[in-house]
Amino acid sequence: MPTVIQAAVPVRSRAATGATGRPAGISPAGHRERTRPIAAAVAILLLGMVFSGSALAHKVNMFANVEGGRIVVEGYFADGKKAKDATIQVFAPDGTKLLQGKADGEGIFSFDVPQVTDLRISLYAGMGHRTEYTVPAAELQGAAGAAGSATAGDGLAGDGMETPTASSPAATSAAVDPAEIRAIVQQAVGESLTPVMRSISELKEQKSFSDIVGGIGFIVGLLGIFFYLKARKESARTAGVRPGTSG
Amino acid sequence: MHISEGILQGPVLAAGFAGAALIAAATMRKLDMEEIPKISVITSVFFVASLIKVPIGPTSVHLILNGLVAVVLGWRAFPAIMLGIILQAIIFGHGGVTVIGVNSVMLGGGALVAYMVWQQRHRFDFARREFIFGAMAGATATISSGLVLALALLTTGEAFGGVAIAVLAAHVPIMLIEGAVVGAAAEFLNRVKPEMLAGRNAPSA
Repeated sequence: MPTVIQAAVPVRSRAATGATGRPAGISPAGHRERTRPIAAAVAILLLGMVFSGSALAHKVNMFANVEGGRIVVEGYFADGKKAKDATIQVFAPDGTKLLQGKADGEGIFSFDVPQVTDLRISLYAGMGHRTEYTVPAAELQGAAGAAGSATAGDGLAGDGMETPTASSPAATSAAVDPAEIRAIVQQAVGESLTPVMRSISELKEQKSFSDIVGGIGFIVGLLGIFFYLKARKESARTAGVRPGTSG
Repeated sequence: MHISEGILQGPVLAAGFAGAALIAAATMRKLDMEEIPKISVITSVFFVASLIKVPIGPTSVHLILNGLVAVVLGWRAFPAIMLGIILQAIIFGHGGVTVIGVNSVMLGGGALVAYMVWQQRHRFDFARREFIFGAMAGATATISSGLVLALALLTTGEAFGGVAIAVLAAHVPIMLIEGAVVGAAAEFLNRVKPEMLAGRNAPSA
């Protein structure tokens, strides 16, 4: 009984300060010395493993880049694997499915812009891994003029690489056409942006140390509060015989 | 193994939450205060486990460790895993938020099955009992969770047989790793601090 009340005191300070990321156990006094080193060792080992190299969860991510009149979608897992043969679907804002296809061996799928609206692109890599990205209409507006050739492609997967569309039928007019220039520039800029988009997508997915510590702190704090409330209830009760510690 | 947002349909998600709530209530009964620090530590381990990447040849897998939670917490593994899944979904976006119920039933339920396997050790007595049963618990947790995953995907229209085989085949390396990790952990704990393991009848010393 006295042990219980004693244990309530350190718990109160832990719950009040919002526990840090070190999960040290509070056990009945006799075990405190043995619990702490083990818990500390486990915590250090885990954090060490987490931060050795890039520790990213196995989740599928994607990004989409507009290049000329086409959208190139790339799916990948956070640990670097490509989302091979993933199913990609494109939806209009009202929910109608515009097209569907499969990613190639590099996790890449590209298709002509079906319409100049927000396009919701969904990628399903199997076994419950799915992700989504919406290309805003504003990004497509400039590209609409570049989709010169009337390829209303149904977007079935093929090579999927960034093959430029026949967007600027070269040299049909002697004069330099501003629209053509715009199309060419947009194509080039779109292609250069692909690696940038990929990096941004990866950056967004990285887990920061503060996320991890925050999560652990939340767990310890929540359970600490629970512990504290229970301890108060115990000490408020008339002393009785408590059964031995459960396993 | 966490299911992402947007794959399962409404009724399945609702059933997941209902099932998770029921099992959580059942497994949290008479929660003893003394168990709470242990729950806190192991939940943190589970929470962080999905970030640990184990390279295997050309690819890598991430740990789940619901078998370890089962071996240390016993029935309390379910609420602990559920809390871990909630935080993984909210903080890491690992697993969808609407899928928290289904994911909890999947990983928490797998842990409970693993605990039942772990408890069978009392029928035997040989030298490396804890290692063997710990390894079996770890592997069982992965298999059972995989079966629940296949069941959940079945509701989306995928043929169960094909999906189940694909899921289990893809998780064989995870099964082996989880088995090894949980077996080693169980044996270590048994040697150093046996009362940390769940389901022992001996009073703590």
